[in-house]
Amino acid sequence: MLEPSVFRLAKDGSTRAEYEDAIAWSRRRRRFAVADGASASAFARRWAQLLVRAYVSGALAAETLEDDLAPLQQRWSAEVEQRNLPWYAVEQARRGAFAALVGLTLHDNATWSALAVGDACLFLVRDDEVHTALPLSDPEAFGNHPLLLGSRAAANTCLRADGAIVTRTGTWQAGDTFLLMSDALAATFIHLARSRSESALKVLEFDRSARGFRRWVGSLRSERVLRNDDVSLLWLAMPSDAAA
Amino acid sequence: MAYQADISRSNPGCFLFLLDQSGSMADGFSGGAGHSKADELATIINRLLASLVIRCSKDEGVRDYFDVGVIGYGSSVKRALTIASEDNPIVPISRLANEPLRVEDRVQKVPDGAGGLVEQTVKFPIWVDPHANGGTPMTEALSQGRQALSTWVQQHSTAFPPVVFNITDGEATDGDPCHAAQALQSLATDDGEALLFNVHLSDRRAPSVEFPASDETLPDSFARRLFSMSSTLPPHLQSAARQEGYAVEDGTRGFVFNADAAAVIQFLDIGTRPANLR
Repeated sequence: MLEPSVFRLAKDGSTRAEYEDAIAWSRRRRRFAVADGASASAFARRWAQLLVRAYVSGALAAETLEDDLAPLQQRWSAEVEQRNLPWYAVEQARRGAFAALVGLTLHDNATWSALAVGDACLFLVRDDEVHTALPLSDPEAFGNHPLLLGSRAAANTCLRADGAIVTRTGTWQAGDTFLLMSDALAATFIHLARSRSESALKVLEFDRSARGFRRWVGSLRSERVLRNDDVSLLWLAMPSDAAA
Repeated sequence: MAYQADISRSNPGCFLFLLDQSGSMADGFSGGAGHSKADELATIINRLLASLVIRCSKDEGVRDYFDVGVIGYGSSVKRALTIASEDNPIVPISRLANEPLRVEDRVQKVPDGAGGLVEQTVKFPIWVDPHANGGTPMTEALSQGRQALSTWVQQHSTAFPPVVFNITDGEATDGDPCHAAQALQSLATDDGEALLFNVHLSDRRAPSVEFPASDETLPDSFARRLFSMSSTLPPHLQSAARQEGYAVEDGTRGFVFNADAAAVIQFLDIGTRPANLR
């Protein structure tokens, strides 16, 4: 049975309620997603939640992404605008929220497909090495400001033309590990995996508990190896019977 | 290393704006569509303050990532934010957000999502009204700024240092401002010295000099004085300026001479980008 391990932590100095990433998965549909709500926008947490839930329910496809987003945008807009908002929140709502999204779908015949927009990342680790990384594989690339999925349709008109909708397909093997991460952790992971000679998974050297994750992230932040941002990790180890 | 501190609610940043409100600010402004420099500057500052507020606005309200102050100098030198107290021109940004003088509806063109533009009514808060009267007591403005910030840095010893923007269209009429500028720049937190950036407004069509690294291309001693009063850009603002297409080197100063309206907006946009907003 496929059972992902999921870890999340708000940025240092923020409460759990202020965590703006979102993680969702469906074991039945074999779909997994992580979204990272942009800190500069408001109501981004809700937008990130809508995105991951839509992905794992099968309602977001790369080929029809702009159209698929329309019902989510309507829902986000309805929820936000029903509130009595001060001028600055009205302006934030008018501009819309933004989020990065990465989603993984496992298919029959040991194949997979992935969709990514922004800088939330998927890594496939095979034989102790990072076999596949998308949409970013260079630690330096994380400093840029990628195009993100907007909760207002007008924000998404350039996504496709600018190549911001990234897709990938592949095959997986027993013993592979898929890792879905929001950007800060992804940048640290790829940096450490490249700079160390040990197994890529050994970079994630915490005991597999919420407490262990919190301690590990805390130490990385204090060493300034990890940027102080919300962190999310979905860890999916592929057992030998997963193809069944 | 200096200028690395994260900006957070427990460790906020600080922006202080010193606005020239002398009589000459009633003259026209290059690129200002017929408006006076005072009118255009008030609009630019109100828009910038709104943009800072919106940057700090989250689902639950405005987070106090910044303290903000505005001092006007013309017929007198005094706080320009009426919500600030007489003895401290600086307020938390959440107060600024919730207490504008008024909120106007303005029509603005925004992308329609289909490659065109559509007119949309947006909320435009006003904190600062235009003023143009009297001389240019820049030295006193810098001194009052220093006074307000000396308290602030004592209260925020680990914070990103204060960033001060002095926006003027002419020379000081109350003596050499260089010493007051140096005194302001000598204020420091553990993360570095206060930054002073100078913006000179142009009322004529003359080429502007933006982010210079030396005073060689500056036309006169007034421009060179403002250059000497301007801090070197810290690394994150060098990157921001570079991203906007400016040729930037290590000695580049936060200074623009003969700025038109567009150059002022661009300069302030770059200068108010936080290092690490958390």
